Amino acid sequence: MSTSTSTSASTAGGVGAQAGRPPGTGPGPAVTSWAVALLLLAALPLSAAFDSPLVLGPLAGAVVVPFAVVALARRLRLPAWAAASATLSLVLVVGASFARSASPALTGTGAGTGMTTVAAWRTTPFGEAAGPVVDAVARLLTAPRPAPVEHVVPVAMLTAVVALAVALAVARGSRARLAPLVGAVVLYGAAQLLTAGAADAGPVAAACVVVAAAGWLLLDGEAVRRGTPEAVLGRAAPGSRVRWRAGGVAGLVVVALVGAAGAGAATAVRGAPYEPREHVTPPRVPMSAAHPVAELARWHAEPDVPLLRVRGQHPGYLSWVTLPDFDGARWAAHLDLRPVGAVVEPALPPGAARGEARAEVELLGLAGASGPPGVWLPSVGHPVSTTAPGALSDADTGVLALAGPDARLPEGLVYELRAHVDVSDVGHAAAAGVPAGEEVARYLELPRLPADLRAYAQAVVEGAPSRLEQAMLLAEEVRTGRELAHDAVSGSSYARVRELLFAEAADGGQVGTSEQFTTAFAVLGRAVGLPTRVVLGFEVPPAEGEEPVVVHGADARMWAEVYFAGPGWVRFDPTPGAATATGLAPDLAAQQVGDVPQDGEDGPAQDLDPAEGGADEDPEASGAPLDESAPGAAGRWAGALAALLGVALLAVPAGLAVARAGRRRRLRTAGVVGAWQHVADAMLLRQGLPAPSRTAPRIADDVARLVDSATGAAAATLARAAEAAAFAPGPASPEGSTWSQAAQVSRALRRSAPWRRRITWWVDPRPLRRR
Amino acid sequence: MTAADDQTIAAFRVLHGRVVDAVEHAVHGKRPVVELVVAALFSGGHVLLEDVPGTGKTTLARALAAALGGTSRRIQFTPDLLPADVTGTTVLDPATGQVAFRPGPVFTHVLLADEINRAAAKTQSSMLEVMAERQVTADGVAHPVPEPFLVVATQNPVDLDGTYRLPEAQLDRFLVRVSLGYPDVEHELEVLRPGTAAGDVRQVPAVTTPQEVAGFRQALTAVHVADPLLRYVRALGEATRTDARTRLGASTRALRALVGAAQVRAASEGRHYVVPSDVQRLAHAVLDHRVVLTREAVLEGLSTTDVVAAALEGVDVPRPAAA
Repeated sequence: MSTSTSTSASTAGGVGAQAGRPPGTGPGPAVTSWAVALLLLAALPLSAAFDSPLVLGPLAGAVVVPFAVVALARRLRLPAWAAASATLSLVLVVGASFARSASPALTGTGAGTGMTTVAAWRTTPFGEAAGPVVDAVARLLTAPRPAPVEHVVPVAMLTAVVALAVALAVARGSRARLAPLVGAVVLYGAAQLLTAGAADAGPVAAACVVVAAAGWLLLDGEAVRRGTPEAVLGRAAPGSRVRWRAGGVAGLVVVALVGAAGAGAATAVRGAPYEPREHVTPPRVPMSAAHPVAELARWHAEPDVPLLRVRGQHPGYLSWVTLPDFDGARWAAHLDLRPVGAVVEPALPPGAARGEARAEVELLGLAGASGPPGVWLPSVGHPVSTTAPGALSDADTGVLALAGPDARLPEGLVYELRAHVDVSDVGHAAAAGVPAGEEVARYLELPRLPADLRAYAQAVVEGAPSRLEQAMLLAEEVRTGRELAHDAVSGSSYARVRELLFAEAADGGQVGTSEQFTTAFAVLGRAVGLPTRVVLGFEVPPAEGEEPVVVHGADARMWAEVYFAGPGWVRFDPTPGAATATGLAPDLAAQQVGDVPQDGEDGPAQDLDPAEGGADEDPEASGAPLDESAPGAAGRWAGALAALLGVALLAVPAGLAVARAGRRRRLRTAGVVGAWQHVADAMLLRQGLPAPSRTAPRIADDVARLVDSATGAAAATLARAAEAAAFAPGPASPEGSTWSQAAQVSRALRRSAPWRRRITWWVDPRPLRRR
Repeated sequence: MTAADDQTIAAFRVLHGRVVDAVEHAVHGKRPVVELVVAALFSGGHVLLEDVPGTGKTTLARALAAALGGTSRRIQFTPDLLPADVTGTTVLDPATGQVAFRPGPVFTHVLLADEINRAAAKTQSSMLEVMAERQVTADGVAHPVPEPFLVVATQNPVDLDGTYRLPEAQLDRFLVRVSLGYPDVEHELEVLRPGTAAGDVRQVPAVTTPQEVAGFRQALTAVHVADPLLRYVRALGEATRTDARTRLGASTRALRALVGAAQVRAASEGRHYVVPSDVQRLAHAVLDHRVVLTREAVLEGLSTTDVVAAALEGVDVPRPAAA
């Protein structure tokens, strides 16, 4: 037999404690550490929104500093509002300072957009102070994803504010266990929103659930609630400690259920996640690009001039300028350039199956004073990130360009590029239709198209069972019997196309440049309703291992692209002798072409599961590496997590029940003190932890109040006997049937308990941690 | 220390009941206060009765002296009272031509120090030695007071004009500070009824002797106090010391007095061991007057009772627990 001797919760007064009220006990290191750990864990996924792990530093500071300020305020006995005001001021000042220093990269490039209208409030002192913070939010939401680390300011400020609220709640003790959970949910939710669900595939969420459950399970609920109710922070007495003991099993169950529900929801969500950036219009820089056809002729005239050096994974080609607009005489591009990676959906959706290209490009002859005019950077597909400073891209065409006053690319520029590339096989493209509507009108425009060209195109595709076959027939028709001549007369007009297609060889027909073959294909395609555009770019020779390859002038190409609903943009090279006639996987004949969907409808390929698509089946054929971050992986993670939680939900109660039974056996052999402990356990389960000043006889009084006077009298007898055994010298007196008496009291207490407590009565872990 | 035997405890319980009953014969309806005063008597402490005039402070002190069966003296403290008027003085005996010590009124079993805060600080301090050491030193000669020796001092907390606040050192000498307060309706009507014995100290019987009290004082020190309880008492004292609202917390002497009073209370209930509720019930009476608040706490209207209550509420009480 022994007696508890804790002097832990000795209290000290707070400066603002009111008369007649007990002074508060500070939250203690255990609760604070748990709250900080949970918030740090929940803030971890926020770093996925940025391109550098250095962002973890500011985020960790944003969590820790508010707790430190609040702790300092407690020590100095400052009121809560003062601590909150000081921290908020600190956050605002530091945040505004950093936001001001991290000036937007596009400020200097927005001249083309015209005058900027400044809201009236921005001219006020408050606007001047808080304006950079507001701008920082907009910059973050319009920045590439992952965003550069300088955009961390609003995220760090949000983290700090959440941490401050949690720290204050923990210090007050009123919501010491709930507040960290809420704060963690806010931070984790913000991370998922900021990254459109890509911040965490499950492990961090699982860790959060574990840490949260551990806190709910182990932290002494009464101890953390014993904080001062006033708005003045309490101060823990020197030497005091917060005990770790069993918390509410209800809280554990809640945490577990929330975790299981979250995992289930993650499993269920397979569509596109909510994307807050869609509601923000990124800054844009309009730019027009004319067909740099002269450069194509020049490069072919100097075939050995090195233009680029390329290393990495790429589909075998790089585009330079994509030209979607045709006015009957020449190709052009009207571009809306935005920061690379900004979330802007193109007018036509990308292909259902996509690959990812990662390459390092070094500009050689393409840049500098001897290079061609223009600021377009070799790229591919839809760029999502690049290290080229100040690079912008157009969402519809994927054109990558440098913003700035210079009309030429800087010599020796080396940049890394990551881009998404549409990947599709012939089967999917053969079953796909083409879209209709305003979005696609740009790619079908043929002003003043000569009737003979339209009739020629329709004649070529007559009888073709699918849109893909129409395109391939047109390409074959353009290419067959004609000759490529780089020194042929240039031009992209209808007249030049007609000359290529219809004139006799003696009259200058049947011979053309790459530009003219491509234009002919694109025009004929548009004439039969195929959305087309032309691209000036480079074939990249195969590399040997990891060695970089040099792209020369002879590798410059021009090709066309056709848009299919589902597969997206598909390359076609109608030039005679082209190495690759189409970007599709070959062997059309082997495909079983099904019903051809009507134009304006999405083909079945658009509904393809990427896991079953061609990209997964044959990555080599597509020329692009696989995108391994398919949604199925996240689903499997979440499913495994849900299963794990389910097992835990069953195993934990079973283990607790066994442990509780073992405790009862031990108490039964501990004489009258054990019998009283059994009653005390029942009281703990019935109404929670008793106040620290409650003696055993007074707890017995509570039994009488909760059940009836007879049961209370039995409990009082046990309490007195237990006190005698605990505090009197010498051996205890004979105890008789104390255990049966204790068991009766315990049963009576359980009967008087609400049904929720009765359900968890035998598995509630709180008695296991009791002193 | 050997444990108090059951016979001693049983005998004390009977005696305690007799003394309390005898005092209550004159002081109606204040049994808890009477029990505190009697506990002070048997634990060797002194009592500070603090209340407004006319609530029975003097009656209580005189009734206790009567029940004790020993001698009792009364000193009406006034500003011109000198220390020698309290402790005694050395005078020249003309008959013998020798210098002899003439004992003052403190040489008694029960000393009623009425309105002690009206005396000057010098006179109040003259009580320090006799209250703590139970002796008076004059011309280098120690003159012990009779045993048991109990000082029952009274002071009026309302009429403070012309008073001198008791120094902390002297307050610490008082085991308990109690307040009688007005009686409830039933007992006040009893007091008002003509011919009642209430307030008539002459009818209080002597139920014990000074020698018997002195004997029990010694025996009760053997009442067992378990280590967890000693640690509990110390934690209470520590809580009052670390409370930011206090300038001075409970002293070690105060905590020792609390333990002694708890022993008496345990024995008065027939137990030869102390339980936590003994400590809790005596904590306010023993500790309240020994705690000194900060100036800010006083301005906020707080009292030392709040501090001790917070300590009682915040410190974990030891409970029986299986290992």
